[in-house]
Amino acid sequence: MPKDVVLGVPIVTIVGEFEINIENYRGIIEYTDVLIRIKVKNGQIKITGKRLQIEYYTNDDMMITGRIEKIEYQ
Amino acid sequence: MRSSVRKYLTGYLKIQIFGYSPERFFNLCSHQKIDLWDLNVKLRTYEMKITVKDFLKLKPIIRKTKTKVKVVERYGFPFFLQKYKTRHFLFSGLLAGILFLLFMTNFVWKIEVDGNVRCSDEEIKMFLKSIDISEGKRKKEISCDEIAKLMRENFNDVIWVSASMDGVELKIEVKENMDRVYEEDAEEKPPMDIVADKDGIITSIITSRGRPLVKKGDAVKKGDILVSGTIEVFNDAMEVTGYQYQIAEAEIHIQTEYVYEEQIEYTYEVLEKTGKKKYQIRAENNDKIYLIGNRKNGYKYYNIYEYQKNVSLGKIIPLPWKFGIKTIEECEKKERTYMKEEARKKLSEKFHRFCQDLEKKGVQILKNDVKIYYGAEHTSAKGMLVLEENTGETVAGEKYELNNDGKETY
Repeated sequence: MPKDVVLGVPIVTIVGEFEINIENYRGIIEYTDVLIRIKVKNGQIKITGKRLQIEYYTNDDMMITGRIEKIEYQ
Repeated sequence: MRSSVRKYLTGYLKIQIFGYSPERFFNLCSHQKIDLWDLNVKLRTYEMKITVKDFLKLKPIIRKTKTKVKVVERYGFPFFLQKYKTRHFLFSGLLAGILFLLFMTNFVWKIEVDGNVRCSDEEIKMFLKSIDISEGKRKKEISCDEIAKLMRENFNDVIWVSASMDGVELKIEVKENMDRVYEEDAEEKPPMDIVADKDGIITSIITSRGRPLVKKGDAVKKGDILVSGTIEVFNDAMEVTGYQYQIAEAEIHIQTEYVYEEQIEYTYEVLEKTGKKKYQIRAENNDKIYLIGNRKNGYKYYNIYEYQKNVSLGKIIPLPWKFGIKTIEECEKKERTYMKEEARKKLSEKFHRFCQDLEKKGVQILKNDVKIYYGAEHTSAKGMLVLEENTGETVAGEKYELNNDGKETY
Protein backbone atom coordinates (compact mmCIF):
# COMPACT_ATOMS: atom_id res chain seq x y z
CA MET A 1 0.00 0.00 0.00
CA PRO A 2 1.30 3.51 -0.73
CA LYS A 3 2.53 5.22 2.40
CA ASP A 4 0.82 8.53 1.79
CA VAL A 5 -2.59 6.88 1.66
CA VAL A 6 -2.03 4.67 4.72
CA LEU A 7 -0.31 7.19 6.94
CA GLY A 8 -1.86 10.37 5.53
CA VAL A 9 1.53 12.07 5.43
CA PRO A 10 2.33 14.84 3.00
CA ILE A 11 4.35 14.41 -0.23
CA VAL A 12 6.64 17.33 -0.97
CA THR A 13 8.18 17.61 -4.41
CA ILE A 14 10.83 20.27 -4.90
CA VAL A 15 11.92 21.42 -8.34
CA GLY A 16 15.17 23.36 -8.17
CA GLU A 17 14.83 26.22 -5.73
CA PHE A 18 11.86 27.84 -7.45
CA GLU A 19 8.95 25.40 -7.22
CA ILE A 20 7.39 23.22 -4.49
CA ASN A 21 4.47 20.86 -4.91
CA ILE A 22 2.74 19.68 -1.73
CA GLU A 23 0.12 16.91 -1.70
CA ASN A 24 -1.94 15.68 1.23
CA TYR A 25 -1.97 18.95 3.17
CA ARG A 26 -4.61 20.02 5.64
CA GLY A 27 -4.64 23.79 5.27
CA ILE A 28 -2.80 27.08 5.14
CA ILE A 29 -1.81 28.53 8.52
CA GLU A 30 0.09 31.58 7.36
CA TYR A 31 0.81 33.10 4.00
CA THR A 32 3.05 36.08 3.26
CA ASP A 33 5.54 36.64 0.43
CA VAL A 34 8.48 35.56 2.62
CA LEU A 35 6.89 32.80 4.70
CA ILE A 36 4.30 30.12 4.12
CA ARG A 37 3.19 27.75 6.88
CA ILE A 38 1.15 24.73 5.87
CA LYS A 39 -0.69 22.39 8.21
CA VAL A 40 -0.02 18.71 7.59
CA LYS A 41 -0.96 15.54 9.53
CA ASN A 42 1.75 15.52 12.22
CA GLY A 43 2.53 19.23 12.45
CA GLN A 44 3.39 21.84 9.90
CA ILE A 45 5.76 22.64 7.05
CA LYS A 46 7.39 26.06 7.13
CA ILE A 47 8.74 27.46 3.87
CA THR A 48 10.77 30.66 3.87
CA GLY A 49 12.01 32.50 0.81
CA LYS A 50 11.40 35.57 -1.30
CA ARG A 51 8.51 36.54 -3.59
CA LEU A 52 6.63 33.41 -2.57
CA GLN A 53 3.43 32.87 -4.49
CA ILE A 54 0.79 30.17 -4.45
CA GLU A 55 0.35 29.29 -8.11
CA TYR A 56 -2.78 27.28 -7.40
CA TYR A 57 -4.26 25.15 -4.66
CA THR A 58 -7.01 22.59 -4.57
CA ASN A 59 -8.22 20.17 -1.95
CA ASP A 60 -5.44 17.70 -2.75
CA ASP A 61 -2.39 19.64 -3.73
CA MET A 62 -0.85 23.08 -4.00
CA MET A 63 2.03 24.62 -5.91
CA ILE A 64 4.27 27.34 -4.54
CA THR A 65 6.71 29.27 -6.68
CA GLY A 66 9.29 31.91 -5.87
CA ARG A 67 12.84 31.94 -4.47
CA ILE A 68 12.85 29.16 -1.84
CA GLU A 69 15.51 29.35 0.88
CA LYS A 70 14.44 26.98 3.67
CA ILE A 71 12.00 24.15 4.25
CA GLU A 72 11.39 23.08 7.85
CA TYR A 73 9.20 20.44 9.53
CA GLN A 74 7.85 21.53 12.94
CA MET B 1 -11.08 24.04 -14.18
CA ARG B 2 -7.46 24.19 -15.29
CA SER B 3 -8.32 24.60 -18.95
CA SER B 4 -7.67 28.21 -19.82
CA VAL B 5 -10.12 28.15 -22.76
CA ARG B 6 -12.96 27.12 -20.47
CA LYS B 7 -11.97 29.76 -17.95
CA TYR B 8 -12.01 32.37 -20.70
CA LEU B 9 -15.44 31.30 -21.94
CA THR B 10 -17.07 31.32 -18.52
CA GLY B 11 -15.22 34.43 -17.33
CA TYR B 12 -13.03 34.97 -14.30
CA LEU B 13 -12.09 37.76 -11.87
CA LYS B 14 -9.03 39.08 -10.12
CA ILE B 15 -9.96 39.89 -6.50
CA GLN B 16 -8.20 41.43 -3.51
CA ILE B 17 -8.70 40.27 0.08
CA PHE B 18 -7.97 42.34 3.20
CA GLY B 19 -8.68 41.49 6.78
CA TYR B 20 -7.78 39.70 9.92
CA SER B 21 -7.28 36.11 8.79
CA PRO B 22 -6.90 35.53 5.08
CA GLU B 23 -5.42 32.06 5.73
CA ARG B 24 -8.71 30.98 7.20
CA PHE B 25 -10.38 32.30 4.11
CA PHE B 26 -8.13 30.13 1.92
CA ASN B 27 -8.77 27.03 3.98
CA LEU B 28 -12.50 27.55 3.87
CA CYS B 29 -12.32 28.06 0.13
CA SER B 30 -10.46 24.82 -0.39
CA HIS B 31 -12.92 23.09 1.93
CA GLN B 32 -15.83 24.38 -0.18
CA LYS B 33 -13.97 23.30 -3.33
CA ILE B 34 -13.60 26.83 -4.56
CA ASP B 35 -10.69 27.10 -6.97
CA LEU B 36 -8.22 29.93 -6.47
CA TRP B 37 -5.07 30.47 -8.52
CA ASP B 38 -2.27 32.98 -9.05
CA LEU B 39 -2.20 33.92 -5.36
CA ASN B 40 -0.04 36.97 -4.66
CA VAL B 41 0.85 38.84 -1.47
CA LYS B 42 1.67 42.52 -1.26
CA LEU B 43 1.80 44.08 2.21
CA ARG B 44 -0.91 41.89 3.71
CA THR B 45 -3.10 42.39 0.63
CA TYR B 46 -3.82 39.13 -1.14
CA GLU B 47 -4.57 39.05 -4.83
CA MET B 48 -5.94 36.01 -6.57
CA LYS B 49 -8.05 34.83 -9.46
CA ILE B 50 -11.43 33.13 -9.18
CA THR B 51 -14.14 32.05 -11.59
CA VAL B 52 -17.38 34.00 -11.67
CA LYS B 53 -19.33 30.93 -10.58
CA ASP B 54 -17.17 30.45 -7.48
CA PHE B 55 -17.18 34.16 -6.70
CA LEU B 56 -20.92 34.01 -6.11
CA LYS B 57 -20.35 31.27 -3.48
CA LEU B 58 -17.93 33.46 -1.47
CA LYS B 59 -20.50 35.45 0.56
CA PRO B 60 -20.86 33.11 3.60
CA ILE B 61 -17.08 32.65 3.78
CA ILE B 62 -16.51 36.41 3.79
CA ARG B 63 -19.01 36.84 6.58
CA LYS B 64 -17.44 34.07 8.63
CA THR B 65 -13.83 35.24 8.26
CA LYS B 66 -14.66 38.96 8.44
CA THR B 67 -12.57 39.76 5.42
CA LYS B 68 -13.25 42.28 2.71
CA VAL B 69 -13.25 41.49 -0.99
CA LYS B 70 -12.65 43.85 -3.87
CA VAL B 71 -12.88 43.00 -7.54
CA VAL B 72 -9.83 44.41 -9.33
CA GLU B 73 -10.19 43.17 -12.88
CA ARG B 74 -12.54 41.13 -15.06
CA TYR B 75 -11.44 38.71 -17.74
CA GLY B 76 -13.17 36.45 -20.26
CA PHE B 77 -15.72 36.34 -23.00
CA PRO B 78 -18.84 37.41 -21.02
CA PHE B 79 -17.05 40.60 -19.97
CA PHE B 80 -15.82 41.14 -23.53
CA LEU B 81 -19.42 40.99 -24.73
CA GLN B 82 -20.49 43.43 -22.04
CA LYS B 83 -17.70 45.85 -22.96
CA TYR B 84 -18.63 45.98 -26.62
CA LYS B 85 -22.39 45.76 -26.06
CA THR B 86 -22.94 49.27 -27.33
CA ARG B 87 -21.02 48.70 -30.57
CA HIS B 88 -23.98 47.67 -32.67
CA PHE B 89 -22.22 47.85 -36.01
CA LEU B 90 -19.47 45.45 -34.94
CA PHE B 91 -21.96 42.74 -34.10
CA SER B 92 -24.33 43.46 -36.92
CA GLY B 93 -21.36 43.38 -39.34
CA LEU B 94 -20.23 40.07 -37.93
CA LEU B 95 -23.72 38.67 -38.22
CA ALA B 96 -24.15 40.03 -41.74
CA GLY B 97 -20.82 38.44 -42.72
CA ILE B 98 -21.88 35.06 -41.42
CA LEU B 99 -25.28 35.35 -43.09
CA PHE B 100 -23.68 36.41 -46.37
CA LEU B 101 -21.34 33.41 -46.22
CA LEU B 102 -24.26 31.08 -45.48
CA PHE B 103 -26.23 32.61 -48.34
CA MET B 104 -23.35 32.26 -50.78
CA THR B 105 -22.91 28.59 -49.96
CA ASN B 106 -26.30 28.00 -51.56
CA PHE B 107 -24.72 28.38 -54.99
CA VAL B 108 -22.29 26.38 -57.06
CA TRP B 109 -19.05 28.32 -57.50
CA LYS B 110 -16.85 25.82 -59.24
CA ILE B 111 -17.36 22.91 -61.58
CA GLU B 112 -14.61 20.32 -61.76
CA VAL B 113 -14.47 17.56 -64.33
CA ASP B 114 -12.26 14.59 -63.69
CA GLY B 115 -11.38 11.39 -65.52
CA ASN B 116 -12.10 12.61 -69.04
CA VAL B 117 -9.50 11.87 -71.70
CA ARG B 118 -11.21 12.26 -75.03
CA CYS B 119 -13.91 14.81 -74.17
CA SER B 120 -12.28 18.05 -73.08
CA ASP B 121 -13.32 19.90 -69.93
CA GLU B 122 -14.67 22.69 -72.13
CA GLU B 123 -16.83 20.27 -74.10
CA ILE B 124 -18.42 18.91 -70.93
CA LYS B 125 -18.85 22.38 -69.45
CA MET B 126 -20.48 23.56 -72.69
CA PHE B 127 -22.89 20.66 -72.44
CA LEU B 128 -23.65 21.50 -68.81
CA LYS B 129 -24.26 25.09 -69.85
CA SER B 130 -26.70 23.89 -72.50
CA ILE B 131 -28.73 22.12 -69.80
CA ASP B 132 -28.56 25.34 -67.74
CA ILE B 133 -25.92 24.34 -65.23
CA SER B 134 -23.06 26.73 -64.70
CA GLU B 135 -21.25 28.60 -61.95
CA GLY B 136 -23.64 30.71 -59.92
CA LYS B 137 -26.57 28.26 -60.12
CA ARG B 138 -28.51 27.50 -56.94
CA LYS B 139 -27.56 24.18 -55.44
CA LYS B 140 -31.17 23.24 -54.79
CA GLU B 141 -32.01 23.48 -58.51
CA ILE B 142 -29.32 20.99 -59.46
CA SER B 143 -30.09 17.32 -59.50
CA CYS B 144 -26.93 15.25 -59.61
CA ASP B 145 -28.78 12.13 -60.78
CA GLU B 146 -30.30 14.08 -63.64
CA ILE B 147 -26.89 15.39 -64.74
CA ALA B 148 -25.42 11.89 -64.68
CA LYS B 149 -28.34 10.55 -66.70
CA LEU B 150 -28.21 13.31 -69.32
CA MET B 151 -24.46 12.96 -69.69
CA ARG B 152 -24.69 9.22 -70.25
CA GLU B 153 -27.29 9.83 -72.94
CA ASN B 154 -25.37 12.57 -74.73
CA PHE B 155 -21.80 11.31 -74.65
CA ASN B 156 -21.38 7.99 -76.41
CA ASP B 157 -17.87 7.36 -75.14
CA VAL B 158 -18.82 7.90 -71.52
CA ILE B 159 -19.67 4.64 -69.79
CA TRP B 160 -19.84 5.85 -66.19
CA VAL B 161 -20.70 9.25 -64.71
CA SER B 162 -20.85 10.44 -61.14
CA ALA B 163 -21.97 13.94 -60.22
CA SER B 164 -21.67 15.08 -56.64
CA MET B 165 -21.64 18.23 -54.56
CA ASP B 166 -18.64 19.01 -52.42
CA GLY B 167 -19.32 22.26 -50.60
CA VAL B 168 -19.69 24.89 -53.30
CA GLU B 169 -18.07 22.65 -55.88
CA LEU B 170 -19.86 20.45 -58.40
CA LYS B 171 -17.69 17.42 -59.07
CA ILE B 172 -18.21 15.42 -62.20
CA GLU B 173 -16.28 12.21 -62.60
CA VAL B 174 -16.46 10.30 -65.83
CA LYS B 175 -15.02 7.10 -67.18
CA GLU B 176 -14.65 6.75 -70.91
CA ASN B 177 -14.66 3.66 -73.05
CA MET B 178 -11.22 3.61 -74.59
CA ASP B 179 -11.60 0.48 -76.76
CA ARG B 180 -14.71 1.10 -78.77
CA VAL B 181 -13.35 3.47 -81.39
CA TYR B 182 -10.37 1.25 -82.10
CA GLU B 183 -12.68 -1.64 -82.88
CA GLU B 184 -14.62 0.49 -85.32
CA ASP B 185 -11.37 1.56 -86.96
CA ALA B 186 -10.20 -1.99 -87.40
CA GLU B 187 -13.10 -2.94 -89.64
CA GLU B 188 -12.35 -0.46 -92.39
CA LYS B 189 -8.61 0.02 -92.34
CA PRO B 190 -7.19 1.54 -95.48
CA PRO B 191 -3.64 0.61 -96.46
CA MET B 192 -1.02 3.06 -95.25
CA ASP B 193 2.17 3.33 -97.33
CA ILE B 194 5.45 4.92 -96.46
CA VAL B 195 6.75 7.35 -99.08
CA ALA B 196 10.06 9.20 -99.32
CA ASP B 197 9.89 12.81 -98.21
CA LYS B 198 13.12 13.82 -99.99
CA ASP B 199 15.50 12.72 -102.74
CA GLY B 200 18.49 10.54 -101.84
CA ILE B 201 20.08 7.14 -101.60
CA ILE B 202 18.77 4.51 -99.18
CA THR B 203 21.47 3.54 -96.69
CA SER B 204 19.42 1.16 -94.56
CA ILE B 205 15.85 -0.12 -94.37
CA ILE B 206 14.29 -2.25 -91.63
CA THR B 207 10.64 -3.11 -92.18
CA SER B 208 8.50 -4.21 -89.27
CA ARG B 209 5.15 -4.14 -91.07
CA GLY B 210 4.33 -3.93 -94.77
CA ARG B 211 6.14 -4.90 -97.99
CA PRO B 212 9.43 -3.10 -98.76
CA LEU B 213 9.73 -1.94 -102.38
CA VAL B 214 13.29 -0.57 -102.22
CA LYS B 215 16.60 -1.94 -100.92
CA LYS B 216 19.88 -0.53 -99.63
CA GLY B 217 21.73 1.50 -102.26
CA ASP B 218 18.62 2.42 -104.29
CA ALA B 219 18.26 6.04 -105.36
CA VAL B 220 14.78 7.37 -104.60
CA LYS B 221 12.91 10.56 -105.44
CA LYS B 222 10.53 12.47 -103.22
CA GLY B 223 7.10 10.81 -103.29
CA ASP B 224 8.32 7.31 -104.18
CA ILE B 225 6.66 4.51 -102.23
CA LEU B 226 9.28 2.87 -100.01
CA VAL B 227 7.13 0.41 -98.04
CA SER B 228 3.70 -0.62 -99.23
CA GLY B 229 0.85 -1.30 -96.84
CA THR B 230 -0.82 -3.62 -99.33
CA ILE B 231 0.16 -7.26 -99.08
CA GLU B 232 -0.80 -9.53 -101.91
CA VAL B 233 -2.21 -12.95 -101.10
CA PHE B 234 -1.11 -15.69 -103.48
CA ASN B 235 -2.48 -19.15 -104.17
CA ASP B 236 -0.41 -22.23 -104.96
CA ALA B 237 -0.12 -21.21 -108.59
CA MET B 238 1.44 -17.92 -107.46
CA GLU B 239 -1.60 -15.95 -108.58
CA VAL B 240 -2.96 -13.03 -106.62
CA THR B 241 -6.20 -13.98 -104.91
CA GLY B 242 -6.65 -11.03 -102.59
CA TYR B 243 -5.10 -8.17 -100.70
CA GLN B 244 -4.49 -7.51 -97.04
CA TYR B 245 -4.16 -3.96 -95.90
CA GLN B 246 -1.90 -2.77 -93.13
CA ILE B 247 -0.33 0.34 -91.72
CA ALA B 248 3.26 0.13 -92.96
CA GLU B 249 5.97 0.60 -90.37
CA ALA B 250 9.70 0.80 -91.06
CA GLU B 251 12.89 2.55 -90.12
CA ILE B 252 14.54 3.93 -93.21
CA HIS B 253 17.78 5.92 -93.43
CA ILE B 254 18.52 7.97 -96.45
CA GLN B 255 21.63 9.82 -97.64
CA THR B 256 20.85 13.28 -98.96
CA GLU B 257 22.69 16.32 -100.16
CA TYR B 258 21.96 19.73 -98.78
CA VAL B 259 23.18 23.06 -100.14
CA TYR B 260 23.92 25.41 -97.29
CA GLU B 261 23.98 29.11 -97.94
CA GLU B 262 23.93 31.97 -95.51
CA GLN B 263 25.11 35.56 -95.85
CA ILE B 264 25.57 38.57 -93.66
CA GLU B 265 25.54 42.20 -94.83
CA TYR B 266 28.25 44.35 -93.30
CA THR B 267 25.78 47.09 -92.41
CA TYR B 268 22.70 46.23 -90.42
CA GLU B 269 19.98 47.91 -88.41
CA VAL B 270 19.17 47.50 -84.72
CA LEU B 271 16.36 48.77 -82.51
CA GLU B 272 17.56 50.53 -79.40
CA LYS B 273 15.45 51.58 -76.44
CA THR B 274 15.26 55.32 -75.89
CA GLY B 275 14.12 54.95 -72.30
CA LYS B 276 10.68 56.49 -72.87
CA LYS B 277 7.79 54.38 -71.63
CA LYS B 278 4.02 54.46 -71.58
CA TYR B 279 1.77 52.43 -69.35
CA GLN B 280 -1.76 51.27 -69.89
CA ILE B 281 -3.83 49.55 -67.23
CA ARG B 282 -6.69 47.42 -68.46
CA ALA B 283 -9.51 45.68 -66.67
CA GLU B 284 -11.67 43.14 -68.43
CA ASN B 285 -15.09 41.97 -67.35
CA ASN B 286 -16.62 39.34 -69.64
CA ASP B 287 -16.55 41.17 -72.97
CA LYS B 288 -16.16 44.70 -71.71
CA ILE B 289 -12.71 46.25 -71.59
CA TYR B 290 -11.87 49.26 -69.45
CA LEU B 291 -8.65 51.12 -70.16
CA ILE B 292 -6.80 53.51 -67.90
CA GLY B 293 -3.81 55.47 -69.17
CA ASN B 294 -2.43 56.58 -72.50
CA ARG B 295 -4.39 55.09 -75.37
CA LYS B 296 -2.39 56.59 -78.22
CA ASN B 297 0.77 54.90 -79.24
CA GLY B 298 2.65 57.66 -81.06
CA TYR B 299 5.97 55.84 -81.29
CA LYS B 300 7.33 54.80 -84.68
CA TYR B 301 9.25 51.81 -83.38
CA TYR B 302 8.34 50.18 -80.10
CA ASN B 303 8.27 47.04 -77.96
CA ILE B 304 5.10 46.01 -76.15
CA TYR B 305 5.02 43.90 -73.00
CA GLU B 306 1.78 42.80 -71.48
CA TYR B 307 1.04 41.23 -68.12
CA GLN B 308 -2.39 39.79 -67.33
CA LYS B 309 -3.91 38.17 -64.29
CA ASN B 310 -7.25 36.53 -63.61
CA VAL B 311 -8.90 37.47 -60.35
CA SER B 312 -10.25 34.80 -58.04
CA LEU B 313 -11.46 34.60 -54.48
CA GLY B 314 -8.95 32.45 -52.63
CA LYS B 315 -8.11 30.25 -55.65
CA ILE B 316 -11.47 28.46 -55.41
CA ILE B 317 -13.96 30.95 -56.75
CA PRO B 318 -12.96 32.53 -60.05
CA LEU B 319 -14.29 36.04 -60.61
CA PRO B 320 -15.11 37.26 -64.11
CA TRP B 321 -12.38 39.95 -63.95
CA LYS B 322 -8.98 40.20 -65.57
CA PHE B 323 -6.42 42.86 -64.88
CA GLY B 324 -3.41 43.70 -66.96
CA ILE B 325 -0.60 46.19 -67.41
CA LYS B 326 0.70 47.02 -70.87
CA THR B 327 4.11 48.65 -71.15
CA ILE B 328 5.11 50.32 -74.41
CA GLU B 329 8.79 51.15 -74.75
CA GLU B 330 9.95 53.51 -77.46
CA CYS B 331 12.80 52.34 -79.66
CA GLU B 332 14.83 53.91 -82.43
CA LYS B 333 16.52 52.41 -85.46
CA LYS B 334 20.32 52.64 -85.64
CA GLU B 335 22.69 51.52 -88.32
CA ARG B 336 25.70 49.44 -87.34
CA THR B 337 28.58 47.87 -89.23
CA TYR B 338 30.16 44.47 -88.74
CA MET B 339 33.94 44.08 -88.89
CA LYS B 340 35.17 41.25 -91.11
CA GLU B 341 36.16 39.14 -88.14
CA GLU B 342 32.80 39.78 -86.41
CA ALA B 343 30.88 38.73 -89.52
CA ARG B 344 32.94 35.54 -89.78
CA LYS B 345 32.26 34.71 -86.15
CA LYS B 346 28.55 35.33 -86.58
CA LEU B 347 28.38 33.12 -89.68
CA SER B 348 30.25 30.23 -88.07
CA GLU B 349 28.04 30.54 -85.00
CA LYS B 350 24.95 30.32 -87.21
CA PHE B 351 26.34 27.30 -89.04
CA HIS B 352 27.24 25.64 -85.76
CA ARG B 353 23.69 26.15 -84.49
CA PHE B 354 22.31 24.75 -87.77
CA CYS B 355 24.43 21.62 -87.33
CA GLN B 356 23.31 21.26 -83.72
CA ASP B 357 19.67 21.48 -84.78
CA LEU B 358 20.28 18.75 -87.35
CA GLU B 359 21.88 16.52 -84.72
CA LYS B 360 18.94 17.06 -82.40
CA LYS B 361 16.66 15.79 -85.15
CA GLY B 362 18.79 12.65 -85.41
CA VAL B 363 20.52 13.67 -88.64
CA GLN B 364 24.15 12.65 -89.10
CA ILE B 365 26.52 14.85 -91.11
CA LEU B 366 28.69 12.63 -93.30
CA LYS B 367 30.53 15.29 -95.30
CA ASN B 368 30.86 19.02 -94.87
CA ASP B 369 32.63 21.43 -97.20
CA VAL B 370 31.06 24.73 -96.18
CA LYS B 371 33.49 27.63 -96.60
CA ILE B 372 33.34 31.35 -95.87
CA TYR B 373 33.72 33.84 -98.72
CA TYR B 374 34.36 37.57 -98.17
CA GLY B 375 32.66 39.99 -100.57
CA ALA B 376 32.62 43.77 -100.82
CA GLU B 377 29.22 44.23 -99.18
CA HIS B 378 28.64 40.94 -97.46
CA THR B 379 30.24 37.80 -96.14
CA SER B 380 28.73 34.47 -97.01
CA ALA B 381 29.02 30.82 -96.04
CA LYS B 382 28.39 28.34 -98.83
CA GLY B 383 28.90 24.66 -99.32
CA MET B 384 27.48 21.20 -99.66
CA LEU B 385 26.50 18.95 -96.77
CA VAL B 386 26.02 15.22 -97.13
CA LEU B 387 23.55 14.01 -94.51
CA GLU B 388 22.16 10.75 -93.32
CA GLU B 389 18.69 11.02 -91.83
CA ASN B 390 15.43 9.24 -91.20
CA THR B 391 12.89 9.39 -93.94
CA GLY B 392 9.41 8.13 -94.52
CA GLU B 393 6.02 9.73 -94.40
CA THR B 394 2.95 7.62 -93.79
CA VAL B 395 0.20 8.32 -96.33
CA ALA B 396 -3.01 6.55 -97.28
CA GLY B 397 -2.39 4.13 -100.13
CA GLU B 398 -4.59 2.85 -102.89
CA LYS B 399 -6.94 -0.11 -102.57
CA TYR B 400 -6.75 -2.74 -105.23
CA GLU B 401 -9.74 -4.49 -106.78
CA LEU B 402 -9.56 -8.07 -107.99
CA ASN B 403 -10.93 -8.61 -111.48
CA ASN B 404 -13.32 -11.49 -111.91
CA ASP B 405 -11.02 -13.35 -114.31
CA GLY B 406 -8.49 -13.87 -111.58
CA LYS B 407 -11.07 -15.51 -109.41
CA GLU B 408 -12.27 -17.88 -112.07
CA THR B 409 -8.78 -19.18 -112.83
CA TYR B 410 -8.42 -20.22 -109.21
